Amino acid sequence: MSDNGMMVQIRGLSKRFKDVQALDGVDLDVGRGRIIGLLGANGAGKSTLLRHIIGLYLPDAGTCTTLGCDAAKLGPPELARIGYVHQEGELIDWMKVRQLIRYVSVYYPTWNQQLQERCVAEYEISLEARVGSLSPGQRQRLAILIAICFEPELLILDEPAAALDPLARAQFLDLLLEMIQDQNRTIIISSHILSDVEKVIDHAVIMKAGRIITDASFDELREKYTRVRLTALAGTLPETLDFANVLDCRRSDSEATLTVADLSPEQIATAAARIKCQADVHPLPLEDIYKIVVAS
Amino acid sequence: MSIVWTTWKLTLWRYRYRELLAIGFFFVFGLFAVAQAGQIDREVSVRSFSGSPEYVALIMLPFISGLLPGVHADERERTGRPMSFCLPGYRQSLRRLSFTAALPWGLFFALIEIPFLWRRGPLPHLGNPAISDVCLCLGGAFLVGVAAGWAAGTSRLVLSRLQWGIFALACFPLVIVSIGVWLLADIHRPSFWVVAGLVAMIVIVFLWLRLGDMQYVARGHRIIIEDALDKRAQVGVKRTAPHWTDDLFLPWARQHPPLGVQRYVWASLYGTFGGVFSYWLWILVGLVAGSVVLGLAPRPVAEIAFASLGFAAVFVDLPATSNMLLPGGRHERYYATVIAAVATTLLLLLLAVGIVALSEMISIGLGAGAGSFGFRLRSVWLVCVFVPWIVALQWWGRRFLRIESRTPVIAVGLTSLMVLRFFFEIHKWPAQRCLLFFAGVSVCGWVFFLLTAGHLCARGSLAERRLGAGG
Repeated sequence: MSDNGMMVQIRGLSKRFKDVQALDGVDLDVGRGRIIGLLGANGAGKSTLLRHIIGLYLPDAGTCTTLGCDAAKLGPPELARIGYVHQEGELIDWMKVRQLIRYVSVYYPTWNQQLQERCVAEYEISLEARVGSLSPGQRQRLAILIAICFEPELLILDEPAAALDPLARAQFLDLLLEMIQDQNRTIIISSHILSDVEKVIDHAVIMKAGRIITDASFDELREKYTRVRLTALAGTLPETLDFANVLDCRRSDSEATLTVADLSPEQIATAAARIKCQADVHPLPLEDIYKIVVAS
Repeated sequence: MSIVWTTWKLTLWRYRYRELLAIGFFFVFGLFAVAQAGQIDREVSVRSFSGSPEYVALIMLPFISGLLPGVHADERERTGRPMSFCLPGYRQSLRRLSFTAALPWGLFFALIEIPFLWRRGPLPHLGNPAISDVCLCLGGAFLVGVAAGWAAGTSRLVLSRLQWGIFALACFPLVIVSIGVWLLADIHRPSFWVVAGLVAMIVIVFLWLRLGDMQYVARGHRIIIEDALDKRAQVGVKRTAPHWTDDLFLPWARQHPPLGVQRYVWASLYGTFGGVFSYWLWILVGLVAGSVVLGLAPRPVAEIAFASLGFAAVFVDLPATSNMLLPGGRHERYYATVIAAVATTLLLLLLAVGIVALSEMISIGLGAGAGSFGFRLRSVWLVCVFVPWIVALQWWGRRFLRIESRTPVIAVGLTSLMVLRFFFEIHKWPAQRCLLFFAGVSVCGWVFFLLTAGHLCARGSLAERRLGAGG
């Protein structure tokens, strides 16, 4: 059972691999129905964190509670509610696709045969192919299929689209968008393809060097960081642009593009009027927000 | 600096080759020491196959060791790197590299041959050899070592049909031994080494020409080489479990309540052994071949080979460290792992009993009478002595030494076997004492295995594959 509507609760989680501090005092709450984007550079600790959530790793310090149960003690009833796709896409190579699907389906009482057939058709997965001879993209599609066909409540996707071609990525995103219609489903997705992630997530967690540096809703982040395009109404811009919290400024004589933080549209409009400019406010794409957060 | 020189410099100095160095250490110091110390003074009986069983094993050694390490990865390293592709001498680098890799085996063989030349024995020519005989023997031994090591190391590149090719290559050392044993009576005669050296020379010339023509090495293009290697890497996954295995395990699993331990264990057994059963034809062939070949082999070799059956356990992927997230917690993984290990042991025992029974039947069929072959039923339990040790050692190696390869574990196991064999050769223990000793080793092995499995499942990381840079 979930605890206070929380699917995952992490407190002070630390993990060290020899000389590398993979996780350093991580706190995280994942509420039911959330779609969380877990972002960070290579080695930031994303995969390690995800492996703690499903109990594959045990923490050196801190606690990780998944579905109301200590992650280290997750049993079949809890694990049958969690789907996991990991970046290596490790499957059982000697099986045919049909055998693998049949094998995995044996474990789950909630296996959705119709969803399976739909995914096989949409992903163009050959049931008679041997898993070991599949291309990386096909393997990943198969890994996704077996992670979602039992309709998990908590779906953990660790770089799920890394090996997919653009078409397969689009199909996967469509499927994901369909899945998130279910209000009870919680998804944690870790990916470097931020343009894809931003289409589905409602919450962003950004990690750096084993720590969470930002944990906020995507809307909050988009409100916090904005891009302002200034056009001088009097021909030329003043030498000094009197804006607070400017993170980046690129300008010519008559136009300027500012990246600002923590400024409301009203504050921006007031500041623009003060220097006789027209201000167009645009939200930043996730990639730019990520760069700003990590750089700061 | 040439590619060959640079690669060898890296090979010698870089830490990443520590596994290879460890294997070399075990083979060179372990086996060589045993061969020298324990067997060197044994008299050679004329026209008897049992004359030099250790030497037969040693001739097989470069072949086996050439196949076991990460040849595939090594070839990729040598031939597939964009940087090396652009370097001068790239097209020649493959054969030069692999040839220089085989040279130590030649030296090793020549080194082993030296004491045999001066050994005292009933054969007069072995007493005080002429310098020409010494040169012929050492030269022949050197060529055989180079040919065996090189052929094994490059088999994946020069052979178009891998499985038959490996079979043919496996016959190479056997052919050499056969020439020595059946035609020339003793493999330590100069005349044997002349013939063996000539055969080896033919193999060396064939390999040199074959590897020089990059058409055979996937037309000499980096991408094509990588494609070809990938295709060859899939040779091992062309097989799949026969339908009867699906029908054997999965319906049984479904009979148990969903999300229960029993269902998890049954399904895991399918995941673990389905792949093994996909090779059922090869297992049957191995059973018959083992009955004939090992049944005819001298007892020490047969016993070592027989006990080595237990090493097959390293190739069984037990459920403890599966990266696939299936609805089984740490407890379920533990039970499934223990049951899979027990099942592995039982299957190996069954195979061993089959080999013994068949060898006895063949023996009786040939009119030699029961019990005339190398195996006895009492040797069967040797198979299961090593299974728990091997599996537990493999886990410890992964967890604490970061050794992913199975080869070091097999090397340690083989060396332990040779040392034990040497020990019992010197200390003639009574049968009861031997039995007690091995029973103790077996019990300790299972305790060690259970503790290791318990530690791994309760406190260890269950994700076998490590993440890069702490990711």
